[in-house]
Amino acid sequence: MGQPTAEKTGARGFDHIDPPDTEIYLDCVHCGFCLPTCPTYLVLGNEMDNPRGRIYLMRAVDEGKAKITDRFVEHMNLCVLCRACETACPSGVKFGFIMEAARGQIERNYQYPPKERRFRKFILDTFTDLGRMSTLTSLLRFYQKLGLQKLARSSGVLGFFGRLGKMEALLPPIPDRQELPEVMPAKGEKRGRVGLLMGCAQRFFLPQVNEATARVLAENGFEVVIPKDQACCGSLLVHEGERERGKGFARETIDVFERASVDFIVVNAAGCGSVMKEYWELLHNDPVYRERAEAFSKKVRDASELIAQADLNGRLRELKLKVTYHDACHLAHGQKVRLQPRKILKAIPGVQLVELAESDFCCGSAGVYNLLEPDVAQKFLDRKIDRIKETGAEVVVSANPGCTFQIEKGLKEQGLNIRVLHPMEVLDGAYQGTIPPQP
Amino acid sequence: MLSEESLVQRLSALVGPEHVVAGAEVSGYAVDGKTPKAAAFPGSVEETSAVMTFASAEGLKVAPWGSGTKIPFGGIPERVDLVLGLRRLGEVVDYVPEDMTATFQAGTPLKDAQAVLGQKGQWIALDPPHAERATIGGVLATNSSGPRRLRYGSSRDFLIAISVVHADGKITKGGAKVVKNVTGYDMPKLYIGSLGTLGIIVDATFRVYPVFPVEKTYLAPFPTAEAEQQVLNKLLDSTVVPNAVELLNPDAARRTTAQAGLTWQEGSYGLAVAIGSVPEAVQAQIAAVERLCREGGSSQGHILEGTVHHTFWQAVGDFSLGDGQQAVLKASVLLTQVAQAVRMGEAVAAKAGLSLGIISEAGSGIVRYYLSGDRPDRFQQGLAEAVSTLRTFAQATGGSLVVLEAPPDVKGAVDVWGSVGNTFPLMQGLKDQFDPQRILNPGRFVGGL
Amino acid sequence: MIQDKARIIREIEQIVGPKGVVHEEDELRVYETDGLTIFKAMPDVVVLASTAEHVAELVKLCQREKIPYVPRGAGTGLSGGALPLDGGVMIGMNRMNRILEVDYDNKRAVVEPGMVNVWLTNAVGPRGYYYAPDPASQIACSIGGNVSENSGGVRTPKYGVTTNHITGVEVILPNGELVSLGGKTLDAPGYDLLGVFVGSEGTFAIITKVIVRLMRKPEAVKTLMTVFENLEDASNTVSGVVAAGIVPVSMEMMDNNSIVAVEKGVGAGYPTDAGAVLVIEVDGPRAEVEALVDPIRDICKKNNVREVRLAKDDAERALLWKGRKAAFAAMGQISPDYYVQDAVIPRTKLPQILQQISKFSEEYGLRVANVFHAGDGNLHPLILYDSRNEGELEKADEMGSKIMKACISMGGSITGEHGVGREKREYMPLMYTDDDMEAMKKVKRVFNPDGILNPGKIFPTTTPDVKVGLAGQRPIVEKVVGQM
Ligand code: SF4
Ligand code: SF4
Repeated sequence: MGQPTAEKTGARGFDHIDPPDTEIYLDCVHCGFCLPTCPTYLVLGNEMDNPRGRIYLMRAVDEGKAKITDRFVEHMNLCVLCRACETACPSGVKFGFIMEAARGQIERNYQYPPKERRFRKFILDTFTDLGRMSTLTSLLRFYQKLGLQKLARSSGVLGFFGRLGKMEALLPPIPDRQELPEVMPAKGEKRGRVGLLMGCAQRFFLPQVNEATARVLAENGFEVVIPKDQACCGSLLVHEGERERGKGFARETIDVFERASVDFIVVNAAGCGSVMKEYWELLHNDPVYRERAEAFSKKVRDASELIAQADLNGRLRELKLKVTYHDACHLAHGQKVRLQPRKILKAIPGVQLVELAESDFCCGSAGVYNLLEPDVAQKFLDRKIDRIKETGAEVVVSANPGCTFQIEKGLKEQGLNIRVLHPMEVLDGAYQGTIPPQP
Repeated sequence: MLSEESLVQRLSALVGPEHVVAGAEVSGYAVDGKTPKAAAFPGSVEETSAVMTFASAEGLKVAPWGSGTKIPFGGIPERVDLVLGLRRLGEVVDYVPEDMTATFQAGTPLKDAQAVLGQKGQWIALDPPHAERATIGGVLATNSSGPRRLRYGSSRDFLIAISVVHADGKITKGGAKVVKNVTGYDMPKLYIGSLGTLGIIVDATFRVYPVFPVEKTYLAPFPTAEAEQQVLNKLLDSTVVPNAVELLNPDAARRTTAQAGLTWQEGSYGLAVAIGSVPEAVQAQIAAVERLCREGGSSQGHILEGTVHHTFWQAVGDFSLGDGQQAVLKASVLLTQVAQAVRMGEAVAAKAGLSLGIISEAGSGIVRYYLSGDRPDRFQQGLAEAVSTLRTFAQATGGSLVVLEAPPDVKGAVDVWGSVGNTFPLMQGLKDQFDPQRILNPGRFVGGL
Repeated sequence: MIQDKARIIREIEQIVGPKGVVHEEDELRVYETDGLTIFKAMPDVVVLASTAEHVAELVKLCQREKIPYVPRGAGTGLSGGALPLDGGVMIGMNRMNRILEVDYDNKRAVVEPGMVNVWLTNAVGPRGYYYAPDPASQIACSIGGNVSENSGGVRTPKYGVTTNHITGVEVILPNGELVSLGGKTLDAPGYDLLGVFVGSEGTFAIITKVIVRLMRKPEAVKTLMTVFENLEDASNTVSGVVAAGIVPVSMEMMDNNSIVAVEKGVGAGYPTDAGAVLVIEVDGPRAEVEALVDPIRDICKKNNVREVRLAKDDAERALLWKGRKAAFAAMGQISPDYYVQDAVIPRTKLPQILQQISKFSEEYGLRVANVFHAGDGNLHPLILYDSRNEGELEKADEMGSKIMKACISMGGSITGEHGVGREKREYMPLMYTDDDMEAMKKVKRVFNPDGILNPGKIFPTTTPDVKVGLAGQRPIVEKVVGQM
């Protein structure tokens, strides 16, 4: 890499802080193999909104042939960063990295219209600030209870609050929070000591998933440490181009789990896991953290990934359930974890796993994409729900909170009585003898 | 216009006097009763070109002629001045067995070509009617094919290169002598089935296939065509890979089995399924076919092999009702409509009092009706009715019906080809481009092209 | 002119709606090239059609205004066939991507042209059927594009190419009229317009519907990965199989460079120290397939095979094929740039041409990766180069044309499946005389009389246009033609 020369910077449309890596987009041979896997291309049907087109546009800016214009920003932001294109690409183009870098360039070098800027800031700040998140959940709980939705509508407060309403629609009924102990002892023969990432959305909106994960880990011989001082992992910020702030969170997360001295860091939210596995890339220019980030990333495991490594411990009871599995983008494409959750589900007596068509097609959640690009996200969601309907399953299994909210919202919209559960919840259910009741 | 004498003289100068036929003898080269002034038999591609250059300069209407087996095909020509016989173009131009490609001149009898290839265990995957006499050029120009097209397709699927002498004498080639080629337009296909109206095929290169170690046929009698249709649907939906699936009406079944020396239950329809492969696979598939047939209501059938097998299929290819006035119609219908097409044929034939043999390449949706009658007046009217009824039926689902053979007076009374809809202007455009003077077989192709 | 462009855009918006029009330079850029990036030409407007009516209206508009126009499918073409060499309107067909009808009993499916090739097989697979032509890009390329290029694939030795599997198309002619060529049934009377249409590279008309043949999946498939120390042994094996009268579904060969690239890219399990890998697949009734495996093994042994690995299940089979199909794109793993050729030779000339190619490779000091459809003599030598090194690009270009000429001199063809398009039009005279080409042009004139549909393709022309150099990825000169 090194510092670009002044001359080069002059010709290029990107600044020299963390620009998309030239070598990566030069790997793109323009073959187009990635096109049909790209959800935005399938829904929008134009080539600016597919990986090849996006790479081409980035390159044009990089080479100084184009500028960071409204159109450029639009097409970069419409990318859901699902990384389906990486799975499809035979040339090994690391699309996620260059897209995140391009978004970083946008954040610095592009002025969003003021309204848009405020909303983006609000969303990102809220979802990554635990204090605010806690306020927000209380607020939203209040909002849900009072039926403020009606008020917001009738009072004609659109724009900002209208979009907030969309956020509310996404959220499941918010359970009252339970505290997990700081350490949970392993059952049976101890296989290792793991740290559990609580995740921002998971911790506030789906605490039951964290609880189930901790129990399942313990059941399978892991001592579970749940550091109280953990903060946001920074994944949303990285996706949205706020790389510098994201790096701050990354460093903090590394610190926290280093202190916990664990063998693995277990994550049950695919989006967080995929970014944490790539801290090495995010921090590769940081002399203090570079090596620590590499060591850290090597220890990160998705919960299913770790559990499926060995046969399941403990007594599994029969669950008479027809389930289907949705491949969260950041698990299937981001972490190449596809078989493990399925293996776990198939191991549970009584569970019938029906394959979901287009199972790895993005549901439209994609971090906060559904809040920032609601119209496109809705099209993905409708498509996903149609496929789910075709399976006839009673439960959709999803290993990412964003997907869970999104799919639940879609099911609700269509009045379908189908549950959405995390693989750890199903497995925990098998240990308990029953899946948790509908909240 | 040239006098006959100078015509013969000029032609003789081009191809040699011994290769020009004129006078009384030339009546053997009449096309639908239109007798040419002369017939010339060039001995090379260059001579063919020279004859065409001459013909176009003189405005002579030319009818190409191979062995004459398909001459009854097509509409009645407007005029025939010169028959261009290709029988002397009979060379094997090129044959590399390891490449599985072979080039023959157009006048080569298909049978001879197959014999050459057969020495290396290969063949051109064509088994058209009258395969004993037909020439390569004639088979291509009329897009003639037979039962085994189910497995291999028709000429368009394995003709890879072609040379053509155009109306103005220019020689061009299209395609290449390699099995896969997309350089330029796929010209060979344009000439297949064009009845010589765009140019005269002088040589053709085929992708050839290995012959099978064994081919056998299961021939089953069925009470109705509908029962056969059911079995056909199931067979095509199974993993059996037949070389041919032929449906025969009782008359055709009776005649062909008799020729092959087989007993046949009077009044039964026949379903003949040919399987080619290694012996084990032939046996297994014949058994599967038998099972399907029995389940579909057939009584005990025959397994044909060896000479019986050969004679049976030859009888199918050379099928004819024998006596009286004859006509052959060919319908192309959906696979699911074969039985219906058979029924319709039976109904019109009965109404018109005509005898009817039906042989259908059922797996390809091709139904051939062989009609005959002994009273010329009724024959003409009956045939006109048959053509119109069956054509309406076939066209309703996008299919077609053409008259392959009929006496000239009958052909004069019906449209031999049927309408080609709004593609006609394109076809006319092609004719205008390739033969602006209209000297190649004028009037014999669709819409009078 | 700009004023005029604004009016044209307004009219186009009236046809397809504003969401179907792309006209800002920022965005048009992504349409300036396709799967072959050495040529670039920017359209003035891209219109994304959703219906045949859209296409008909657009064609009428373009004809009336004398604006050149060109259809584009998935943009995966490898001959620059969809480039708007004279600018004008590009009609994007990718939104027309539905299956309209599947008729199992009649073994036909009716699809829109933007339909992705493999989607069809995915859709009919559960019912035991498939669509046979499978170009390496099948996960992305569109059936309309396949029809235009008469695409091949790896199954051609047994099942033929696209033209053998298309029974009808519905097209919009340059006069705006919709006509059907062929249909669900066979042997339509008259000239075989369908036959000459398939492979016409988008120069005759715009496809709005395709009727394809559906094939029944075979009872059994066996895929053998055979490993050789050198290409010669592998080539002799190919000849041996053919000589034994076996018609395999595929015989695909890769040399060491390709093997290494594929392994880096997708990890198909090819041994990276091998001189050649030959993948042979046979299918058909179980008894037949089983009877073929041993003879093939014997032929391999006779030719010094190092290893014969029979794929034990569908997953292993799929992986072997994934490797082969990813071969081009995987070159990115071992070389910054590559230039792919598509020549065909009579199969028996394989050892000869391979020798020639390696001679050229030494002569020019450029590596070559050979990936080819050995079963039908279709070569894809990939010339590896690095455009950052002064002069390498020109060397690659020169070497490419030498290979092409060598193939022609052995009685071959300049393109087996990628098409002539813009890329190879200057090479047409290597194969065809002026008279041969004139016959082709006659056909073109019938369909596309004034030539404003997809101009500048297939035939050599004296009009200069862009050639931005052979840069796989790094064009040296870049010139955009055809601003309206
Ligand atoms: S698949 Fe990879 S190389 Fe091909 S266009 Fe997409 S990103 Fe580029
Ligand atoms: S990350 Fe997903 S949305 Fe973005 S370009 Fe790749 S496939 Fe498309």
